[in-house]
Amino acid sequence: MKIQCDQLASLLPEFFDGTLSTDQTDAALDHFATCESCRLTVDELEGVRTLAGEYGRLELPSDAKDRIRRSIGLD
Amino acid sequence: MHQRREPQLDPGRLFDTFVDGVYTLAYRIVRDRHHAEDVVQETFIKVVRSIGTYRGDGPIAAWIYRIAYREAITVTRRRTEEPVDPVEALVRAERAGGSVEEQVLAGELAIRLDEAIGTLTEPVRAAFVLRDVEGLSTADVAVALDVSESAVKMRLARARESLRMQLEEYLR
Ligand SMILES: [Zn+2]
Repeated sequence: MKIQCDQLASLLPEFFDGTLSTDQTDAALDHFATCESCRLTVDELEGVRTLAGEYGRLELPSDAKDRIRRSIGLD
Repeated sequence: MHQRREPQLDPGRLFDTFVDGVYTLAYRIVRDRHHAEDVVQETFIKVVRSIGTYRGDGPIAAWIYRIAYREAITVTRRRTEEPVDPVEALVRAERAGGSVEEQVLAGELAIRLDEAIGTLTEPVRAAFVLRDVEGLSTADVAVALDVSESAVKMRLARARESLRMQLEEYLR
């Protein structure tokens, strides 16, 4: 199976989830081997996901945690 | 029928496990610390009150984030003033280590990421935060947001592409 750039783009959510079929995975890898632009794009998208995981998470300040715990009767 | 409560369904433990994740989703939607705290409080009031109705037919994370998302949407619909607190101080403490340069870059990245996430539409933002920030599976995100998995995938593609364009200089 040979795919074009736009077809590759539509496979990316499942590519990142690791849920592509074997055929689709092979097609994606074949495409990356010949298309530098998609390869770069996927590297950058992977970078977005890494940034999101590392810098996107927030922490509720502990005084607020204590206050909320008390207010809902958990302490 | 024999009633038994799974230890992981203990309300105190659920609070400890999910409080930061719920806060992250809430803040990303309402973009204001105090409103986000209200969302956390309302969410866990509902979790404690209705844990008995959770039937274990889906992951508990999806069940809790579904409550949280609805609360966050209710709060954003109700408010009129423009939000925005600096996100820097809220970034998880574990990122604070390292040299001064690393801390400055980490702070800058957190701010730029926050701004970029803020440009996404609410449904796209929620899908992105749950999947790529909080790490839920695509299936669980679909349950939490009450949409199909293919809708989640479309939103994720849109979010990631938008952030790729906006954050390009940090991705090279
Ligand atoms: Zn291509």
